Amino acid sequence: MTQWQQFKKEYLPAVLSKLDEKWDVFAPVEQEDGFRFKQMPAAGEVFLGPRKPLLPLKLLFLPEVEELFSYSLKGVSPELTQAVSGGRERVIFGALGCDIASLDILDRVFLTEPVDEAYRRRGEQATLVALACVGEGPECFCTSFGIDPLQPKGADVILVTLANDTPQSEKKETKQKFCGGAGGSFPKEPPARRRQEVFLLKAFSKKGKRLVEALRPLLTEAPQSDIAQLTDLSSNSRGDVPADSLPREESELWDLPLWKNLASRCLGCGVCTLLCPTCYCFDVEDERCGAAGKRFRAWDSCMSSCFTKMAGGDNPRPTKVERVRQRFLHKLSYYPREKESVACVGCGRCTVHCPVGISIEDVILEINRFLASGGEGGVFEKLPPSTPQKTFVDSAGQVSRTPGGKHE
Amino acid sequence: MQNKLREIAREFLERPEAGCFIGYETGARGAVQAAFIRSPEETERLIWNRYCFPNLSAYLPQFRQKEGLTGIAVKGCDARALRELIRSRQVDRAKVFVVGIPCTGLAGSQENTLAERCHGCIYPEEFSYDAVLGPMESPGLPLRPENNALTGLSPRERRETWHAELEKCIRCEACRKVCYGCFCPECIFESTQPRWLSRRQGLAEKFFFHSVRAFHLAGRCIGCGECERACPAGVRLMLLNNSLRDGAAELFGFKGAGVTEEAPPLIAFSKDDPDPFSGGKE
Repeated sequence: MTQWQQFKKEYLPAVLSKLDEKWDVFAPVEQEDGFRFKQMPAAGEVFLGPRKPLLPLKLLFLPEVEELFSYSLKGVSPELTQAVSGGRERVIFGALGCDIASLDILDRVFLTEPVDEAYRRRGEQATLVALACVGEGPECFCTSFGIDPLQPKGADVILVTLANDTPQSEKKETKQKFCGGAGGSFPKEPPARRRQEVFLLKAFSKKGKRLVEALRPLLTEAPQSDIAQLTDLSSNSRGDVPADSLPREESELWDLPLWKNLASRCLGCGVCTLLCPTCYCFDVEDERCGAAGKRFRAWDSCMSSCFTKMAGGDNPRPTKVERVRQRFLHKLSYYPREKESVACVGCGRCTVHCPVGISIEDVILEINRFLASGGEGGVFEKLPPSTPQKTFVDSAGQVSRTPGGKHE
Repeated sequence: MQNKLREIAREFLERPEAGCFIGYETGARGAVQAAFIRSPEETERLIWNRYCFPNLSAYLPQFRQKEGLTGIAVKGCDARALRELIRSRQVDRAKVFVVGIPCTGLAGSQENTLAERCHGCIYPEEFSYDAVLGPMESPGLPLRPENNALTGLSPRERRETWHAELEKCIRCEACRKVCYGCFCPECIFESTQPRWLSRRQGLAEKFFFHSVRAFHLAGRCIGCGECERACPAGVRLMLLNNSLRDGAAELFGFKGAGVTEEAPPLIAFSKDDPDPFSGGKE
């Protein structure tokens, strides 16, 4: 079963309930509280397309809140009870390439000694069904990090939606409107490509084969004509953002005027960190009630003023300047120095949802510009608005980005 | 209007005591953002249009320690916020140079519509600007029934509405950070000793956060709607703010924060307080 298989769109509910027999199924669904990963959704609500759920995939591996253990001080010696773990294996259906790539970045943190057991177990128990993504909007730049959104590394199964009835000319229509800070509204008129009739899928790992095997009664072998269509697919994710070339010595980037400029506009809200698929900081808290209590961990954000606040009241990152710098340099310089990878996957959630329009992509370009000018100029806010970052030309002399007006 | 704004800002920045002028500019990705202009030449970046959403007054408290004058462009809602900041002594009127922009309403989410927040906008009365781009009068956009969707709902329906809204919250607290009125040096939600609110993501925690936030701003909310714009999860925060605004109007005859010099009812003491809660004089 390593060939491309297919099932018709009408069979999606059947496919999901078939999976539910063996696995806990998670998929992105549109509900009242927005577009999010949910467990065993009614198939009608599942939306499979190039659209990122508000909260990234990390929440299924590093939950927002996770109980570690409970304790009791009633007896002679304190009693600890490990939080219950285990449960059924999971299938994550319809995750996109950027989110899947983010797991590799988290792995490098949680799977090195000392291994985080809860994280490791969730990873082992998860089968990832990736949806080949043609790119959601102008904020997407995953391909700049070597991610293949059509066939992401780390996926156990790749799922492709094919619109057989879509005329050739419409297939190229992959651009969507930028939703600004409004939180990404659902397009009213579905674009032509969403009239998909069939799903093609293929296993890329042992776990994936098991899943495809379980679905066998619902699948047929994909015809050559459909497989041939796969080569026509392309993503509009931009691959020319020079993210991997920044110095890994912090001193070079420590005093950039950029940090002060960003800090004056930044609210310090931390939307960027909570929605970031690669941010993994958490805080540990005790909840004590009488002689018993629970310890749990919960997502934390380096943008918060109490993130580095010491018990004695001292704060080594006292202002937004230090906190903004920490967020960007951790992703672009410190993490790469330790883990040989940039801690960003170019999903653009932080850019779309930042209430004051700060974008990691602009920061990357700005740092490059600063370094290229030998430390001259490069003050983010001094650029005239008519010449945004498009003046950056890579070593091959290619400028494939369109002017900023595109994001109108 | 944009040219006049640039001209005023340029003249302001040529003054020796001028430090920074806060206005709007087009960001690198085409969206409007706050601009911090520090030299006369940079004033060419300043813009004004229907997409100038940010409430610039919220940036002012961070300039309070600075020497020199800070210039700021304010539309109606920003002006109400500024007046409240001055009244609560967070901003020294003598240290700001205020340029009034007569705004006729910001753009709504659909084409040719008006932003939700602009319905019922009232400009501050008798507020003194240092310069204006035109007469600073309320655009006269009446409130719509949708602006307070809670009217006529039973307590149970209200509770269900809140539960559905707050369930969406991801507790990033962007609503708090973007708010002009949240200027406490340490917010109770930032305090770790004691920790007033657990980091859990349950409805109870979300309810606690939002109700405390709303009550701290009851009567002080100037209705700029920035909290709702900043929310990544689409929580309709203005529902809560508007119902408190209506309560303040109904119980205390309060015109709205920043509209007059009058202090918001919950932070003012009055011997003539109607005190309807304990069956006092009505």
